[in-house]
Amino acid sequence: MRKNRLLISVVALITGLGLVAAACNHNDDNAPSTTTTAATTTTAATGEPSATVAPSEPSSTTGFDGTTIKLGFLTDLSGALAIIGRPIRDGAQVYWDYVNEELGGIGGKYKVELVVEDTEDRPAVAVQAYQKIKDDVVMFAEILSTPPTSAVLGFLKEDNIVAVPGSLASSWIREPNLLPNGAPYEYEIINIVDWWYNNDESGGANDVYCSVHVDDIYGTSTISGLDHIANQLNITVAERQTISRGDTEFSTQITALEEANCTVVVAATVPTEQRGLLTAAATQGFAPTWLGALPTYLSLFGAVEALAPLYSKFYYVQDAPPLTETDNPGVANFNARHETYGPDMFSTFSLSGYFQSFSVHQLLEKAVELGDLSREGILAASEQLGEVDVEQLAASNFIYGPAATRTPPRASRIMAPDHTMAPDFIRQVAEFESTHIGSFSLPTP
Amino acid sequence: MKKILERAFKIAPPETGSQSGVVKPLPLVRTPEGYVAIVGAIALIIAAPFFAQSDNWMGQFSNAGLFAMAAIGLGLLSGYAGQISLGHAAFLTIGAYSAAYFGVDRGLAFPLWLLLAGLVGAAIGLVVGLFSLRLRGDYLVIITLALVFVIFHVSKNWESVTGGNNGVSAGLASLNIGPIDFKNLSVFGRELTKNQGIFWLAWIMVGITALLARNIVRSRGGRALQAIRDRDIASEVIGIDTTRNKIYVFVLSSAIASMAGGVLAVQRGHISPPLGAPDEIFISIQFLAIIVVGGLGTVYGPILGALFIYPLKIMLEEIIEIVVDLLESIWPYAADKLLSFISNESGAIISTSAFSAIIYAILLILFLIFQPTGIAGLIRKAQIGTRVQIAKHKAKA
Repeated sequence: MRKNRLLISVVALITGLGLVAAACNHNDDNAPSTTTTAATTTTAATGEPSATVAPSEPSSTTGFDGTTIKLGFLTDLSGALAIIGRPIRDGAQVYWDYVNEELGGIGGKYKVELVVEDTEDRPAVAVQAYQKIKDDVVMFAEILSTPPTSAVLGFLKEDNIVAVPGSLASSWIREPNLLPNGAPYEYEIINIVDWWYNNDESGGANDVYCSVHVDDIYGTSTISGLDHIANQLNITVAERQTISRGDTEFSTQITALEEANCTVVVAATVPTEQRGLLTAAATQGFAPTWLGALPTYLSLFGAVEALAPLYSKFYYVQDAPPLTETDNPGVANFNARHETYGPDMFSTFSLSGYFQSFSVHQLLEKAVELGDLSREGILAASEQLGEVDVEQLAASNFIYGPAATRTPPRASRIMAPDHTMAPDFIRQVAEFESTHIGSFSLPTP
Repeated sequence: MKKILERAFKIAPPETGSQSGVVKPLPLVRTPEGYVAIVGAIALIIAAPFFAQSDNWMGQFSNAGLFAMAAIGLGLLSGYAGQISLGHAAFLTIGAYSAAYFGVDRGLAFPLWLLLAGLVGAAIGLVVGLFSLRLRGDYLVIITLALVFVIFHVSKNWESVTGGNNGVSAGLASLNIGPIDFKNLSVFGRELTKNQGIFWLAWIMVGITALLARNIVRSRGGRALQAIRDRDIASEVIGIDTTRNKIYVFVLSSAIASMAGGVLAVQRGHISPPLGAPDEIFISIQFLAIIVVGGLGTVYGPILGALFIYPLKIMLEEIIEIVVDLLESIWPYAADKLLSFISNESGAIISTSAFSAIIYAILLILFLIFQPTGIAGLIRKAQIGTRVQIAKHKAKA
């Protein structure tokens, strides 16, 4: 009996400690950031929101009570990607507040409401969150990050629901139930490597190329873009390193990259890990040029002057221009709408959430125009959605239609962090479209 | 089957001087209240899909059922044999990938792929058990912890079976038993959803597993496990092969978890590696919480624990939303203040999910401090209290 009590005590202790740790982990990103700013992006999207009235009134259906359209929004509010997930939600809210207040809603009369759930960036939690609200919404305006999207995809197909993936994996493009935005990660990497190879004054052809990526579906699919461009340019990738989500110690990876004499490191990471890699590299006196995919950078870090040396040889890709480029109509509109509807602070990813909402808006307009806001109606409307203009927020537009014929944007903007360039602390270095993108085959389901 | 299990868990023949060595088995159900509870539970399970308002809750309680099934296996290992495993989630993962491989890639029928999933789990459990259970001490904790990492990396890299980081689809695996397809059930002309069908299947499996576990623990083999848990040296002295019994129960526990993981994978449709091994460890810890909160050393404890723990976080979220709605109608100012602190909306300091995770952890810690014998202990206390009251009443009469 005494032993049994001991067992209970041990189990209780382990359980208690584990749960406290888990609870603490869930909350480490709760405080809203106060230093952030700015611009960037992800996706592509739409055209001028039209306020045309549908020829036939859509009848009430799941997620639509005849007056309000509810959109599911699965994002990370308390996990490792909360630093991205919260501003994405804020940016989307800015967009829909603008639609509701200034356009009167979809079709000029149907208000839009976001039903937000926290995925903690864990696939199992994302599935639970999806199940919780799927019968309250017409579609999902966001499923943040590749692993949760991957986990929910089967359910979307079963339930005939359309969702916007909050990641740029190329495998989403041919999925009928997904409405991706922006140039896929693979294109981003092809563009930035090709740009560096051809434009580096010191001669990109002479560089030693290496890579580091998160060992998950985002990292491996993104780095396949490097494989493609390396093959096209006859580059040998001298060293490939992987990291895991949540890693904080990177000296092993940096040592391996340094020993391989890498002069260019292509990165498919997320902002906190990328900052950790840059710090570890600086600590070891290793100073290659870093070329990153969109999720590698967050303006929160660029705003800090003390971190500027870490980012001095860092470039990354995004669709949208810097927020300082106010002659761009999309930027001007975003700045004005954020001023009116947005919270006091925003980060790079606020614009991403805003940007992704264009395609959802156009899709809902199309569904209302067709008089059917049911799941099947929205799925059918998605096949009739053509080119969606995003007020020049993307270097080029996404052309929708049946999944098999969709054409994602190909051009990218190459950015460099710059702590003097408030509010988003980035400057555009180039706009580039690689000629080698055409030979890259998009994966099919 | 019972004979096989009896043989598997048999203890050495009694020493000379004992009587026949035959020990009268404990009853399957100890009390009349137990029979009432079982009949009530069966009625509730049958009726639930017809009355449930939300398919989401059907999904939640299907998952809770499959967690209960796996927890019964862990309950045998920890509650009866006194061995702690931190790798239970790894066996669920093994079962999930087995379901995808045998059920989808090979297209095997449900009973067959389920059996194979169990066998794969059992085989891996045997390998782990052989290394870790021969020694006295907490080696099983360490080795099962290592197993979580091994399975995590295998699932990411054995692409031909697991699909690597992309994962594999398990949703197409059959859940047919003869003409009954649990994914497309139709009862009295009413078509049930996939979650409703799997809810029944999950709880049928819980019933079978509980019956199996109860039969084991009330047999000589079960008593041997409890003897090992309470006095392992004394058990060896009286002839119980402690190593063999511990390995047997670990293998059985692994097989049960693996089968539960298989059905869970079909319910969820897609399996991909977790974001990191800590995610798997968290689920394993959740299993420990389930059996402790339910009540160690009982078969029904893990079932109650799973029913309490699995949906708790979602329930807390719902409660928070109800509280906010209520406040909005009677005290809007307080509702606004609360929403500015806890909400999934823009501007809130903490998300509903994160807040409920904190409450969840606090509740569990308080539960473990103040009710270490779990829900089963509470039930026992209530039973005794009721009997005392009845006896007093009779005495007065």
